[in-house]
Amino acid sequence: MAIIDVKNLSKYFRVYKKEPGVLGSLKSLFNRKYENSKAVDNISFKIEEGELVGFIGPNGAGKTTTLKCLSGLIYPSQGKISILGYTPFDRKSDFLKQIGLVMGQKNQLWWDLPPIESYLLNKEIYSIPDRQFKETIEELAELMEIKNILQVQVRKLSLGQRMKCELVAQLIHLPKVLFLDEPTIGLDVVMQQKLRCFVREYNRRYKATILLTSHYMDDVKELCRRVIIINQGGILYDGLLENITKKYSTHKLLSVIFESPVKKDELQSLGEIKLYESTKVNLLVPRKDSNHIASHLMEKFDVADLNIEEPEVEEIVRKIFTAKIV
Amino acid sequence: MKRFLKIVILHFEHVFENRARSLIWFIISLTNPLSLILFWKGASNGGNLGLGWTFSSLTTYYLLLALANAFLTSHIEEEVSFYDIKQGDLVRYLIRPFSYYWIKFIEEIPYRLLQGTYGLILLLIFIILFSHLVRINLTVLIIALGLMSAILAFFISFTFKMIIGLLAFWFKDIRGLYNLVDIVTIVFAGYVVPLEFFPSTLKNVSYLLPFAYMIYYPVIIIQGKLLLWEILRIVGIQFLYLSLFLVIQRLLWKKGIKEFTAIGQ
Amino acid sequence: MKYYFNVYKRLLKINFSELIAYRAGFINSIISSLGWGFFQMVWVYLLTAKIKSAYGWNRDELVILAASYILFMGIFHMFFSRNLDNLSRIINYGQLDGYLLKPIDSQLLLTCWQINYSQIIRLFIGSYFITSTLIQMRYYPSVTNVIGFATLLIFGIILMYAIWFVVATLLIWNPQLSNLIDFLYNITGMSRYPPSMVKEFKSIVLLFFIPLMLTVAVPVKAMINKVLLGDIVQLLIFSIFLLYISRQFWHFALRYYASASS
Repeated sequence: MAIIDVKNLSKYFRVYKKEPGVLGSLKSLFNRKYENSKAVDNISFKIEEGELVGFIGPNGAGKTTTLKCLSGLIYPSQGKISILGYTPFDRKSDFLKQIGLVMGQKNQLWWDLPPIESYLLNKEIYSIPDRQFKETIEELAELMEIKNILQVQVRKLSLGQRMKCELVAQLIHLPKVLFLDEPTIGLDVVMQQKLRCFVREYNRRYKATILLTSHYMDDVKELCRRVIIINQGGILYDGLLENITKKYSTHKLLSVIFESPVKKDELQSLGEIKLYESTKVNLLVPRKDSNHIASHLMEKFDVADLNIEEPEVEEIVRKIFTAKIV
Repeated sequence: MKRFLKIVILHFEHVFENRARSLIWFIISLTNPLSLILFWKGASNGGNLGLGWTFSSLTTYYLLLALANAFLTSHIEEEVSFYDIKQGDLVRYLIRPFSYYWIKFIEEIPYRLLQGTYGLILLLIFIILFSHLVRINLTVLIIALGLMSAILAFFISFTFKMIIGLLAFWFKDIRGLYNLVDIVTIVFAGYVVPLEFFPSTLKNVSYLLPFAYMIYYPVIIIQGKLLLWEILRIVGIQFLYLSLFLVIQRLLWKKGIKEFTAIGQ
Repeated sequence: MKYYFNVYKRLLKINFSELIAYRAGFINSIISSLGWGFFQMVWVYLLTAKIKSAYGWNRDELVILAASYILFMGIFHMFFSRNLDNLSRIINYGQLDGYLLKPIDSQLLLTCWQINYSQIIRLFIGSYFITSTLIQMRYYPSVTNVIGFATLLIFGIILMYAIWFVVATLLIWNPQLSNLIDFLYNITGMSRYPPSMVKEFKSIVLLFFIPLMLTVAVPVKAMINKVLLGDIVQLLIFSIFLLYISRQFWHFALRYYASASS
C-alpha cells in the first residue's frame, strides 16, 4: 500500500479584486469581486515507502501548496489525501509525530541558548523516550557534523552551522515521511553538497519516504530517481528521471572544440548554438541529423574534439515547462 | 526655504497614510484621562475638591492634558536609540547637510500635527456634548502666554527625548531606563492628578524636575489658574531647562558620534 | 496528563536558562516590573489623597484593589503577556506553520511558550501592599476569604486571558493591527477602578468593559467580605464562557488561515 496517496487534489484560493483609491475601497465594501486562482488543479500520485521523489516546477507552479496540503497546513478544496493511513488535515498528533516539513529558513531554535536545549524541548513535545533521543542525537549530529557545536549558543553560530542545527531540530523525531521545500536555497555550493549527502543518507538509513521540491535541477539529479513535474497546478510528468531524456529529447547536443575560431554565421545554419566561446561550441541539432551534421563539421573544419551527447535535463525540463508537452 | 517645505510636506503625506494606526495610538492615549474623569465623577460627588478644583475644572484639566500630550509629547527615543544607533540607520542622516536634531524635528512635526488634530476633535466633541463640564476662560494674553509656554514645552520634551535616545551610544539595552522615564513622567507631569494635589514634599520635588515644564504648565496656564508673574516665572524656568538640555544634547552628540564612527557600528 | 506536565516542565526550564543567558534583558525586565509595580501604588495614593470614598469603596479598599491589580498583572505578565504579544509577530512573519506542525494543541503551545520570571517582583509588591493595608485596616481575613480570593483571582486571569487571546486571534485577519494589543494593555488598567463606576453609565461602550472590571474587583470583594453571590456567578460565567469562545474562535481562525494562506 502506498505511503502517500493523493487523489484528485485541487486547491483554489480566493483572490479579492479591489480597484485602487478611495472609490474602489468603498465599492469593495458592498460588492466584493473575487477570482478563484487555481494553485493546484486535480493532481494525483502515489509514493511508496522509502522513495525519494523530486517535485520540480517553476515558481508558482503549486509545489509549496501541495506540500502544505500533504502536511496538513492547508485544507484542500477538493480531493483526498492519505499519508500513512491518516488524512493530513485532521492533524492528529500521531500523524504529526511521524512527518516532518522543512521549509527554508524558519527559526525554531531559541536564540540565546545552545541547540541542545531546543532539541530537549522537541523531545518532550514529540514524546521521544530518553534512550532513543540520545541515539538519534548521536547519529544526526554525526551526519550533519555538528557534534562540537551542540553546546554553543545559537546566536554565536555561523549561518551554515545554524541551518544545520535547525534541520536537526526538525528531524529529532525521525519522521517516516519527510517533505523538503527548497532545502538548498540560499546555500553555498559546499553546503548544498553536504545537504544532499545528508538527505541521501537519511533516506537510506531510516528508510524514510522523502518528497523534495526544488528548482535546482542538481538537487533532483543527484538525489531522485523519480520526478514529478508540475506546472500551473497540474502534473506534466510522473516517472523516472532518466526516461525524460529518452522520451522528450528531440535533439542531441554536439559539443565541439575547433582548432581555430569559427565564425558564428557558418554554424547557424546547422543548428541552435547553445555555447559559443571562440573555439568551443555547443550545438543543438535534431536527433536524426546528429550523425550527419557531425561528419559535416569534421569535414569542413579542423576539429580537435567532438562529442555527441544527450541535452541537459534542465534544457528538456525548460522545454516541457514552456511547451507543456504532456 | 522651498526645499525645506517640500521635505515637510513629503513627511506629512507619509504620516497621513498611516492615519488609522495613528488614530489607534491616540485612542490608546485617551483611556487614562477618560477613565480618570469617570472616576472623579463618583469620587468628587460634584462638589468642591479644595484648592479651587471642581469636577468640571478637573475634567477640563484632563482633556487639555490629553490635547497637550497629543501635540507636545514626542516619541523619538526608540527610533533614535534602536533604529538609528543600534541598527545603524544613523549613517543616512550623517550624509545630509542638516543637523540630525533638526531633521528629526522635521520628521516628528507631522505626527504631532496629526495627533493634535485628533485631540482638537476630541475637545470639540466634549465641548458640544458636555458643555457644562468644560470650563475655559480665554483671554488674548492667556492664549499668547500659553502658546509660548507650549512651544517651549515641546522643545524641552523633544530635546530630553533626544538625550535619552542618544544614550544608546553607550548602553547595550536601556529599555528599563525608558520605562522608568515613562513612569516618572506620568507622575510628575500631572497625568495622574494635578500637581497641586500632591503632598508637600512630592509637590516641591515636582517643581524642580523638568517634567512639569514639558506638559503640565502649558495646560495650567491655558486653564487660567496662574497669575501673570507666576506665568512669567514658569516661562523663565522653561528657558533655563531648554538651554540646559540643548547643551547636554550637543555634548552627547559630539561624543557619541566619535564613538559611532570609530567603531563603524 | 503526564505529557503536558513534561512539556511544561521543560518550558519552565528552558525559559529559566534563557533568563540566565540574556542578563541584560533580565535586568531591564526587573527594573520595569519594579517601576510599574511601585507606580501603581503611587497612583492609587495620589488619587485617593484628597477623597474619602468613590463608588462605594473607601480609601483602604481602593488601595487593596490597586495592590491586587499589581498581583494580578504580575501573574498575567509572567505567564501570558509575552506570548500574546508574540502572536502578532509570529503570524506576520509566517512562523505559525512551525507551531501548527507540532503534535500538540497550538493554542496551548503558543500560550505557554515563554515565561517572564522577572514579573515575580510584582507578585511580591502586590502581596506586600495587600497584607500591610489589611493590617492597617485591622481586618484579618479568614481562610475562606483567602481561598475565595485566590480562586476568583484565577478565574479573573482566565477571563483576561480569553479576551486577550480573542483579540490576538483577530490578527490572523489583519496582522497590521498589532497596536490593538497595546490598546488592551491600557484597557486592562480599567480593572483598577470599582466596577460600579462603569455600571453608572448606560452607554453600551462602557458596559463592554464589565467583564474586565470583574477580574480583580470580585476576588478583592471576596477577601474583604463584601462579595455578593451574583458577583461570583457573573465572574465564573464570563470567564468560562469567554474561554470557550476563545477556543472556538481560534479553531475558526485556523481554518481561515489554512484555507487562505499560500
